[in-house]
Amino acid sequence: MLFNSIAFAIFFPIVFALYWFVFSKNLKIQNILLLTASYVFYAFWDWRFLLLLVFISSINFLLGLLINKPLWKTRSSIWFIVGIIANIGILSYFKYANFFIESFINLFSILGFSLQKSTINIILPLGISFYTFLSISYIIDIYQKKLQASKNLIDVLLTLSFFPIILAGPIQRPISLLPQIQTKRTFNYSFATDGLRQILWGLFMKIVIADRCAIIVNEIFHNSINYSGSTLLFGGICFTIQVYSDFAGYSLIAIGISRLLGFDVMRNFSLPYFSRNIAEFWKRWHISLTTWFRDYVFLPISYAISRKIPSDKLWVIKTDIFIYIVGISITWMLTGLWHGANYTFVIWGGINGFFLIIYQVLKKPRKKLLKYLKVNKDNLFLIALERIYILSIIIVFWVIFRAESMGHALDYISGIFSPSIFTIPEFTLFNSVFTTIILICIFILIEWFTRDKLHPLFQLEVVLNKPTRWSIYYAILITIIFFAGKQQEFLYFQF
Amino acid sequence: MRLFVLQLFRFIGLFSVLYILFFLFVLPRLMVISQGPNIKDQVDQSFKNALNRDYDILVLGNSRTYRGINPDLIEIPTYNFSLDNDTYNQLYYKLKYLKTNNKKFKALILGMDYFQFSFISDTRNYAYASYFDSDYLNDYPSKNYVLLYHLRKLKPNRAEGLRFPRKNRPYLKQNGQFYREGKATPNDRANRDISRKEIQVKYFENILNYCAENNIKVFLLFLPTRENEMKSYTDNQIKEFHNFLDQYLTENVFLLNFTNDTTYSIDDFADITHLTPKAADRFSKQLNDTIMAIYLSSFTPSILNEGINNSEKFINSY
Repeated sequence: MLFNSIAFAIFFPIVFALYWFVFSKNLKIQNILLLTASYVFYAFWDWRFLLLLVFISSINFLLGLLINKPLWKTRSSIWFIVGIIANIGILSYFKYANFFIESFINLFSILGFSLQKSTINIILPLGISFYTFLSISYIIDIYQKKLQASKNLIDVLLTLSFFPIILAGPIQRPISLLPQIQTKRTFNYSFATDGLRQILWGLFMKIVIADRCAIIVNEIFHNSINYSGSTLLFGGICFTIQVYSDFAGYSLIAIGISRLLGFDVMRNFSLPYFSRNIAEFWKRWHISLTTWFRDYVFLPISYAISRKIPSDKLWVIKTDIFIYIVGISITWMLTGLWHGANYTFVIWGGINGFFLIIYQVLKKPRKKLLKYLKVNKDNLFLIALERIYILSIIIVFWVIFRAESMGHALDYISGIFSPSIFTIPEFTLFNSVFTTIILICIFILIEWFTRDKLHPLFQLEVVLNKPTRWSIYYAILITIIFFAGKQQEFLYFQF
Repeated sequence: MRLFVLQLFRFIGLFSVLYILFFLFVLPRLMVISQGPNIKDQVDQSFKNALNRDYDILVLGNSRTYRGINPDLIEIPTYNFSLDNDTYNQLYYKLKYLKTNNKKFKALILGMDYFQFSFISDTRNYAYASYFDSDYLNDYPSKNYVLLYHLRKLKPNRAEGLRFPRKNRPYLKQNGQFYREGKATPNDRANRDISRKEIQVKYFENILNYCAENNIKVFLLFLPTRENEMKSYTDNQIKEFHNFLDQYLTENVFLLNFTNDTTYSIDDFADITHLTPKAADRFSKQLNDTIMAIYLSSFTPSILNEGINNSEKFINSY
């Protein structure tokens, strides 16, 4: 069930009405309702995989209890390891089995051995990367005694399958979601209206900006060989905008829906394209995932290495830099792999890691250089230059991310940097492309001028009276109706 | 909570009222300004002129003939009675409509498309139902098509066609041709289905039988088609389709196949499938030459060879 579908427009008001009007006095029944709604929402895609979701979350419920209070004279760590292996094993099977089989076959064929190709026909369960990560953090947090394992099955099942966030995040960790599920929710007017505003802006981002860009992007990427460098660059820029407005739009809708149900879900995007460096970009992009990897992969690796290396220097490299390089490389390879079983994602992750390392290594020299040149770090020209630079790199990253294979990515990028980059892009090839460009410009300007807010419609009631506010909402709704692109699935569903 | 729900209902209620008013009353007028006459007006005008005008050749078909044939450029008086999305059942009922109104003609140009048998169009039923016999709707599921038409007006994507008024706004000519400018792009795509529904084959045969009974010559006409559209079909499918058509060709049923006419380039198309008005004029002249050759050959044997020489590559060629 897509958030921007008729089915959801019928489904959610029913859940909302039952939740607040019928069962508002009974927390247990409210949670059962939410769990049922979550399963209906998920089963709408494929009911068979609902069983997998129930299985995974039930297993994690049991493992949580066993880690908290081990039985049969076992130790917590045993159950913790079992939990991690089980979760990663299931994810690996569904997401990476064919990728690894093919990779091994290719590796053996390079070495001169010929193996018969026999991949398995596996359907990737929707949202598996998201709910597996929720499950893993549940296990880890219990093991690290940051979270008390819940004895209530319903609460845990709901934590791991809460419908607004199950398919594409934000990855709201059980450590903050579970206590909210266990606590009685009271309806908060301003909280709910803010939720509606986030939904409205999210729908605008998704339906108008992302879906319109998708038409251009799909065409250019599918037929990239036929297009000039400037058109390819235009396609890259459009995908950069599409992937942001699609995913950030989805996150806003998910957060908004959660708010309508009384839940506070973390912010997932914070205007990433206005970043000045790659590290800042990744602090602002898909925040719930990057912080997840930071806390559960990067930091444990860094601590583990730092304990093994007592000296300040390792060969010629400073220990902290060495730890950073190792930690970031592993973290970003995994981040790439998390996005999909394709070398494009692994290389995309690797390149991101590489640029993060470069940034970290050059941080101090940059500071010294600016001091030497007597350039203030807040110099407007410098800020603009850095933003353009980082955006250019990100566009190239997204091309790799979007490409069907590494060969395609390289062809696309070399196509961009061909002499035809200096020609006028073939805008006329696409219907209503100028309308899309104008809408994108308006969107960017709104995001820029409201960059200090959580979202562009945040706390409008403080500065605007009701008729003006409603006019703005109507204007957005009308824009959605008039300028909707062709309905597309949310990009991050594939992960 | 109550305040929230109340405000939400107010907000949605006010928006719904504005939405319905706009889509039912304002948008249709804006669309006429922007896009020319709506389908209902086109149908009314087309049916009115079909009775009022005098002609010997009638053109029937879908949007490709509707836009692609200019009757003024055919030497024999002709009327274009095509309409967007028409399928053979509707074309047959158009013939019946003309018969009921005692309208006679000597030849029929019947638009052909490889996908034309694959579906049964119902998007004009709200308008056609008032012109055709009552049994016309027997081929469709029982629905209130007029109500559906009004409800369809409320669909949000109806606003998609809204553009700033253009200099060359589309319009329907008195001769029945629809004038619409456009510019094709290399990336235009169309997914076509070459399968044949029994019901359409039945009505296609009904049309041919009707013409045979009334001594009307029939020209089965394939208009120039873009390569991108032809990609929907395999060579074998096309061969099989023509084997199917061959059985209907007689001394009074001719096949004019311009599908692969290479003299038409992308500049001659307004989109994936329709000719531009300029190309439509060129094509109409070409069609005129071909038809005239056949017509004259029927009556004046001495001109036969010359006429056939000019047009033989188009007649029965595929």
